[in-house]
Amino acid sequence: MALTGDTGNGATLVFAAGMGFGTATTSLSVISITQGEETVGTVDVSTLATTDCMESIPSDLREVGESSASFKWITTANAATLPGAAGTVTITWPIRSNETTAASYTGTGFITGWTPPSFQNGELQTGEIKWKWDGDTGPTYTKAS
Amino acid sequence: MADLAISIRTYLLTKTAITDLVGQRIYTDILPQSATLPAITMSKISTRHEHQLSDFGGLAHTRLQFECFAATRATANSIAEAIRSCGIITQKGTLTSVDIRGVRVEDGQRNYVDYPTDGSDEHRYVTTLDLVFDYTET
Repeated sequence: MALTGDTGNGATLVFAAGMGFGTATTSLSVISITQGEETVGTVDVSTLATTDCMESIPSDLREVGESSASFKWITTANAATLPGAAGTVTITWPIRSNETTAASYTGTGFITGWTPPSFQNGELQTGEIKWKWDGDTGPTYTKAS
Repeated sequence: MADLAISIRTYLLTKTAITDLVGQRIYTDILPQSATLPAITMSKISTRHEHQLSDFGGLAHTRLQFECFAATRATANSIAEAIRSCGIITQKGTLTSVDIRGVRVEDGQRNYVDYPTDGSDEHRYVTTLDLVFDYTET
């Protein structure tokens, strides 16, 4: 069986219009994307009769941590204006040769912060942006097909 | 896109501090046989390209090595110093179709001797200087 796996090259990040970049959707020239961890809380259901180990059940709701991305700074592009409205954030995986639709992770969220570039000899100007999935819609992972 | 090394050679040949020493004798990679001294060779040592996830990042960094050949150590050093101080370090903007974003000395003067292979006692003194150029690329 052929080995599989892929790098991050080709992944994209798009913010919907109105999230603080203006009236158009914004695709940043991303260099890296760091996704927040998706977790579910635990509920202790131990009783006085419990022995050996605490007993737990999953909580009802999942939580998705803050995500961030670094991107090449384009001086002619708008910087984010905070606070911005919530909107749809879409991360799309690089499509592979045997796929027609790439995997994606999408949902509504809002930008929680951005950092302009530092200036250093010989170093590409890069910015960083952070966003929180607000839970109103998704986020949902859709596998490639 | 214009070649960086060609652009830099063109720029250096506009500097009288350099042409007073070597004339038009700035060669690519190696000296011609029986070359008149003093002279300079330029070599592209390495190029690093910035990347974003979907494409090149639009910025590259090239290390050029300048070897300054002369009949005396003092002259070889003077040529290297002339390159360092000719104003190239402060270049920013279009230089013969290359958009330079920064220049810095990556490795300062180093010395070695080029021993003759013709049985003579005529050594060639070589002073080497490396510069890194940051420039935009498409």
